[in-house]
Amino acid sequence: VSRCQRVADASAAADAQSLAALAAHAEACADCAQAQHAHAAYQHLVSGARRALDAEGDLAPEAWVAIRSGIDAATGRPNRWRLAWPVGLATAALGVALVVVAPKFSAPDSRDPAAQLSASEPAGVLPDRLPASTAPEAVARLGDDAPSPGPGDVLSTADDARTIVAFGRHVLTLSPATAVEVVSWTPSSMIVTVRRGSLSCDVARASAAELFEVRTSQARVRVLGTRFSVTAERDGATAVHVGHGLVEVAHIGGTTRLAEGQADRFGGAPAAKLAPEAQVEPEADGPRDPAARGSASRAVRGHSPQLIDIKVPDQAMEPPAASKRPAPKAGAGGDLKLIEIVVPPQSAPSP
Amino acid sequence: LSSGADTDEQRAFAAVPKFDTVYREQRGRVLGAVRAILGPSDEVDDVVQLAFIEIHRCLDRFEGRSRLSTWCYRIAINVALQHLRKKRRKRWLMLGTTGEEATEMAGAVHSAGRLEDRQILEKVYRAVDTLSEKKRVVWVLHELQGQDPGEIASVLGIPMNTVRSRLLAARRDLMDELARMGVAPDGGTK
Repeated sequence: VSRCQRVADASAAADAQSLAALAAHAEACADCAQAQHAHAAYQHLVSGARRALDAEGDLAPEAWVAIRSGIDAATGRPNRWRLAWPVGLATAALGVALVVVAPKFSAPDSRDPAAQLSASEPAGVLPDRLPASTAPEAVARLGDDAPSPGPGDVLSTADDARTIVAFGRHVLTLSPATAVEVVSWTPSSMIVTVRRGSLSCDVARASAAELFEVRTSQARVRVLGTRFSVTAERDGATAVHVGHGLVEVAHIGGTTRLAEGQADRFGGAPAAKLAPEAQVEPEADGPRDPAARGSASRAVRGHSPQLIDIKVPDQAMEPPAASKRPAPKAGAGGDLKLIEIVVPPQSAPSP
Repeated sequence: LSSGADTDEQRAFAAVPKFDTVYREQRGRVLGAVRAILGPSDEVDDVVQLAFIEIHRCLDRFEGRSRLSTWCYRIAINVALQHLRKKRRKRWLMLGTTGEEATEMAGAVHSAGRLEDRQILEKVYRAVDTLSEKKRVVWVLHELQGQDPGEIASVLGIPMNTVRSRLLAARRDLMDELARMGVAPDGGTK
């Protein structure tokens, strides 16, 4: 069958004039009719393909966001991303090292009561009256794996045992033959009632608004906090006045405790003790906060070449015992049991 | 003299469009070009992203000799073709569904009204895959993107007669391939 060159040209050119000529020619030419049929099919396919492409439309907004993020990552912030990987890996490695290695050096010995208490205590609060042994009686009463006491629970000690209970930052020392009921223990308040015996409290409040109260049948003892002022004088001396509570001042000559209403002057030229009324500002009030203590120390150091450290160990208190029987003296009655109570994470305010 | 040079430099700097503007204005055109070159593919997003990365990289070298849209279009086409070349090189590694199964799966996600067009598109692109790269670009830009030979010549930087001859050859080859696939009747062009 001979091929018609006209058909080939017209089907390839696919312009209107050629197609019209092809249509006219195809009536009398079998080859052209075949070509025309093929061309119509081709046009149908191309039109369908074009419609399908048009129907694809725009990308989804999320896809554009992803594309833009990828572009930014590859172009706009290359250095930042290059640094992010090593920094991230180093941070992760450091975290793993801290988790794995740090406990070996810092974890307290679980058999050492002093170490247990240290772990639950803010620095500088631990009293110097830790026992050397553990009382089996106390173990029997409270149990090693006893749950943390909550409101309504009663803590009691035997006649010959003393017990230290750490309620988060607060440390309660129960003298022998003492019963204490927990009335409230929340991040904002701690209330206990002494049913009998004697209770000693080391209180570390996170804020001045935090309530710490010890009740008996006849009295309520509430921690109000400490108010004191530190003055860096022109001659380099530091004057401290305690308006309320107790303050310990560590200076070059030793350590001095100032009680409520007392004032003293450290360093600089020798001078007479200050009158309480002369001390006006700055004034610190409230809880025994390490941060506040640190700021007081820094204030002193900023004005004086001498190192003066001011601590606030005033929050230990001895409420009146409810028992008619005189409580045995602390440390003299017998052994002591250390119980650590961990504050639940959601209710543990930062110290 | 120095200040004049600075002024020219500043003017040239000011003439360079910001990437954000280019991205916002040209993304539809870039998407269309990439999609036309690749055909139905899941990799369109990735190639669009690559095209814009290339645009970002070359933007400060844009001299304004052609329109920005043409310049972006050319980059998009080149990136898409480069992607096709890479894909062809590693095609022998690809395993999985056959073409028919892939067609059915792709068709299943579309509505019934668009199914026929979608199937046609995939068949056409299977035939287009047999074309050479030069013929493919010209054919796609003319038949699917609706560009006339003059525009194609401008985008590709080739003479218009070359565009015409490539288009003619591509059309013949494609019709033969479609006939061979049984999709279209033999036109007897050979």
